Amino acid sequence: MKQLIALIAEHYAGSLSPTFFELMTFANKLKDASQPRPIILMLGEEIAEAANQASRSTGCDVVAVAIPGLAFYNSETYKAVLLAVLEELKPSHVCAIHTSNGSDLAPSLSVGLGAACITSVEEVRIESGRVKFLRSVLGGKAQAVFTSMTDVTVVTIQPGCFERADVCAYSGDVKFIHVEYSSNRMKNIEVRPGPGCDSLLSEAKVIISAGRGVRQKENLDTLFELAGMFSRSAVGCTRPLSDSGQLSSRRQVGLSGAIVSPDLYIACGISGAQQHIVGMQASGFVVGINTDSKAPIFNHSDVCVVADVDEFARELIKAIAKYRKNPLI
Amino acid sequence: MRILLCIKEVPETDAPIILDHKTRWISENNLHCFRMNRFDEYAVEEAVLIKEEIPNTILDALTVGPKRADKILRRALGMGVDNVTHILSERSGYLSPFITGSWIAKYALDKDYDLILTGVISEDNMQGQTGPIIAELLSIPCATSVIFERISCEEDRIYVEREIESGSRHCMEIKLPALLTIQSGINKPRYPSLSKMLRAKKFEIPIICSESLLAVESREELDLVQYPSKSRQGLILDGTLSEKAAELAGILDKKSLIR
Ligand SMILES: Cc1cc2nc3c(=O)[nH]c(=O)nc-3n(C[C@H](O)[C@H](O)[C@H](O)COP(=O)(O)OP(=O)(O)OC[C@H]3O[C@@H](n4cnc5c(N)ncnc54)[C@H](O)[C@@H]3O)c2cc1C
Ligand SMILES: Nc1ncnc2c1ncn2[C@@H]1O[C@H](COP(=O)(O)O)[C@@H](O)[C@H]1O
Repeated sequence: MKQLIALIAEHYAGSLSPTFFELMTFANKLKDASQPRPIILMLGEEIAEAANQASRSTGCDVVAVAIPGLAFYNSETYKAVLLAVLEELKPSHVCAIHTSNGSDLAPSLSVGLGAACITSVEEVRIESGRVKFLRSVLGGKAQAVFTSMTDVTVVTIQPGCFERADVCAYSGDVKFIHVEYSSNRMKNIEVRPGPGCDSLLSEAKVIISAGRGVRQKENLDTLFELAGMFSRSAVGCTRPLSDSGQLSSRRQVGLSGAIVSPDLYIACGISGAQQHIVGMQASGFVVGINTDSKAPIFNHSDVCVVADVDEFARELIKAIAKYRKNPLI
Repeated sequence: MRILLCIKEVPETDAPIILDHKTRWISENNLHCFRMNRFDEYAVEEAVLIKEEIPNTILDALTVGPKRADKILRRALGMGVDNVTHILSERSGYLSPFITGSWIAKYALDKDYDLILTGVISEDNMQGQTGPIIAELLSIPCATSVIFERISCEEDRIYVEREIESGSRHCMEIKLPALLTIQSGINKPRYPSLSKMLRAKKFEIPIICSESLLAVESREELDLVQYPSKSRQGLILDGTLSEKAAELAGILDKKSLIR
């Protein structure tokens, strides 16, 4: 009997989440190991459209569980329903994207399944028939290689680490199941949109981004001055700076902030945690400035400057000023 | 209200780290400094805020970790926690969230906590699993990445807002007892107060041997740790500050990034 890989698909407003195709790539890599077949699971109130889309674009079979009243994610409902479905399917792997909901669900589900749980996986390798999961640890300063010791493994994959799989030419079967379930301990009220990202940030060609290494208010002023040296520029920041209120959360770059892709991104006193990297990795040219020569940001930089950010920013302003003195401007 | 806080000691990673291939983790010789996981500071602060709001609230904090981890328990006392417990584990290297979670759940099982708070993620393991695992083992509901909470007047329900993608909020109401994992930015963690630190210094911390609590096996194995791979081949600039700045300005100009 062929084994199954169960993929939990997120969908939004009748449409499959685009990151689902990253999960598909991951599943195809796992498939190479032992030829299990991926099967897609989705839950929700109105899922017909997204379920058909999933089967058409992947060629995989889909189990779509229609649950009246489940307008959005509810961990109690998801867990109860998925455990029942998975009990029947007996997959070797249960995979989801490491979104806020995927990361909420995976560990709880693993307890019920008696499964190992490995979250935010960035890479998968097959070594002598065994599946190895690679993920960041220690703030991105190291990468750890994990193997599962159980028959069933729950995995979440970090968004942005796997390419999106191509759309498949044939389609799979869709099986609809109707379930009545209302969680009694957890009631959804609403989903409220976030503050959104500063349009300056999304439109900027140059982003000067500040991290915790920028210690004082005056040093932030220096970075604003540096940004002023470029046209169509903006100042961005990491989460700690918006958490502490030093800069508005609309300037935050990363997983829970904006995804940006300027021509130039200068990371100032930023360590380079995975949650920040996903927000800026599509930038054209990246400069990292950090006192620690081993800061993970340097693994994602085209130019690495090991220096105190404030001292260096002031030197850089002077150096750029020389080019700007060019009479052509 | 009785609230349990799970707090973790993590290594400071501001300086270069050395990996130890024997323990498959950060080299102990390399460790200059340990501190409380930053996300857990937000959890402690949130609990102290609840205590200030709701009379007769008792805050217990615990950690699973080696002897030296008592430092963070004293810090929690300094921030306003009432009692602390140390679940002693001298295992070096990676500790699976399933093991940690099983020990904590076993400890909490008969203690009737109304609310359990953890951080959303630990800065070293970065799995974000321990909280949901504890909740599942205790069969209580769990909400992750909580950025706002309010306990109802009857104290039997809690309104929470989870932070989801692009800062949107998933708002819900949960029946207590429940577990929340706290996201950074929910509050501004206070510094320990001097008077509370004096009490903390003298506090006799009860120690429980983790292995005596429950025998539990890890479900995953960490085979090895390695330095991360590079997505870009960074050119490292040499020289004095001004030489580096001049070189960078030259590179940016050549790439037409200035102007
Ligand atoms: C669910 C979730 C979502 C998240 N979303 C985001 C997000 O959207 N965006 C985000 O940024 N983070 C996010 N985070 C947080 C993320 O994990 C990191 O905590 C954060 O990115 C670290 O910010 P930092 O680099 O500024 O601080 P730190 O990690 O503390 O790094 C500071 C750096 O400054 C360097 N430094 C110190 N002094 C100097 C100096 N004088 N000169 C130069 N360098 C110096 C240090 O060497 C260090 O590398 C999220 C976390 C979670 C759990
Ligand atoms: N050893 C530990 N002792 C106490 N609490 C812990 C421990 N490990 C993890 N936690 C809690 O679980 C949260 C998430 O950790 P992790 O699952 O490692 O990302 C942390 O923020 C802590 O609140």
